[in-house]
Amino acid sequence: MNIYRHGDVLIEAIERPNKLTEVFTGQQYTVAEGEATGHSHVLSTRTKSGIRVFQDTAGNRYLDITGQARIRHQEHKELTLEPGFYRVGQEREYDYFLQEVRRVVD
Amino acid sequence: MEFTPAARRTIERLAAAARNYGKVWDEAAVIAAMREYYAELKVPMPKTVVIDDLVIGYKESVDLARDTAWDTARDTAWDTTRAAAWGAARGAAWDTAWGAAWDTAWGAARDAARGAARGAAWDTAWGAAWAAAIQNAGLDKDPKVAKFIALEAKLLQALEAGLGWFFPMQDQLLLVPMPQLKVSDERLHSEDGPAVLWRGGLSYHFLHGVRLDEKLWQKITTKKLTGKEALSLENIEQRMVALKLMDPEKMLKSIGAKLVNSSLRGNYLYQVPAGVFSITAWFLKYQDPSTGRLYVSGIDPEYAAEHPLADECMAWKFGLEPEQYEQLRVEA
Repeated sequence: MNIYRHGDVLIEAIERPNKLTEVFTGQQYTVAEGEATGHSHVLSTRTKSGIRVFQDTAGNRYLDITGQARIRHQEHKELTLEPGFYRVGQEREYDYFLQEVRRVVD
Repeated sequence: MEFTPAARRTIERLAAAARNYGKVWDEAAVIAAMREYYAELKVPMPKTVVIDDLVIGYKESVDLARDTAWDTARDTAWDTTRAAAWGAARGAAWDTAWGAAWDTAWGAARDAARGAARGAAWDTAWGAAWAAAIQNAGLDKDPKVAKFIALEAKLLQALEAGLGWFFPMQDQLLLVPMPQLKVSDERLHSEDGPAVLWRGGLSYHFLHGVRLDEKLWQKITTKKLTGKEALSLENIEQRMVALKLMDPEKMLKSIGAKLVNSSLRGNYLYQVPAGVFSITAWFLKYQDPSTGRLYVSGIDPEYAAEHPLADECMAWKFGLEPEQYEQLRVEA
């Protein structure tokens, strides 16, 4: 299974789950944006509808990439992703002040 | 890469203008260059109004009609050279400066304003890069292409005279001077004042490319931020720069953290005895594989107590099983 880590974003190849809603189709998709830096992780392919994005009821995102794709960021090295179905993961941490697990905010 | 003398001159002028961002504001020269620019487009130039910063520029432009004649003329000029190759000339620091202003402007202005702004820096970089590539390829002998290069040269003159953005509206040409930028290692950074300062006084504070509000920036730069306060920063990039300035090891020591485990992958697991926080706390110190920046991040206490290994705690951070993290080889 292919797993890619791009900064605070994780892209993991998985079997496609059931009951997903398609939320985006296109050639370029912003996977994550940083609030404090203005930088973003941008996925792109050469084909017009090469990226399809799905969501489950919990808000988790999934990517269906039909051709080879690249993920870029202003400060991270570029990665090449093989075609496939992926789960988008986001780095998390434990907040000892709020005493809860939360997504890393950057 | 080898450049022709004309292409090299264009690139050098662009680079010199970028080095002088915010240091020059010659209003008469900007207006003269813009007048020539409009003349090249054969569009009458409306009256000019100088605006202090981009946020006000967006606000002002919201209720004004866009100059469609200008747009058409500019687009036509661009279409004549579309076939040639081009390169970008913006840096990461500039992207961030733009982003900071953009975020504020976006909250203040309606969608309509978005299409109205023309960034002189961006347009000029784009145009000059085009011009250089065209000159380099020897395509500037075509009169249509030569006209485009002449047009872009006017915008470069305006940039050299300090223009940051312009809004070509029907009855007014809004001109926004370039802000002063303090850049270190290609990132917005200043420990002795704002890293972005607009002519009207609007300013933004940055450390190593990360934006902070003035109060937090002051606390970090005057070394008044405690280790516990640094760990309480919700934004991990802000926490990272705070730790960078106070030294992560020193900070961890200041809260009584003890190293429990470390791995060959550069992950370090620390335990902080109860007292600093209401329970025993676990923190992971790790390095970003691309930037080399150090981060310190809390780990779920139950998980960490059961898996007191640095790599396993890193796996938890990404929702992976330890063996999956072991297989994770593509990191950037």
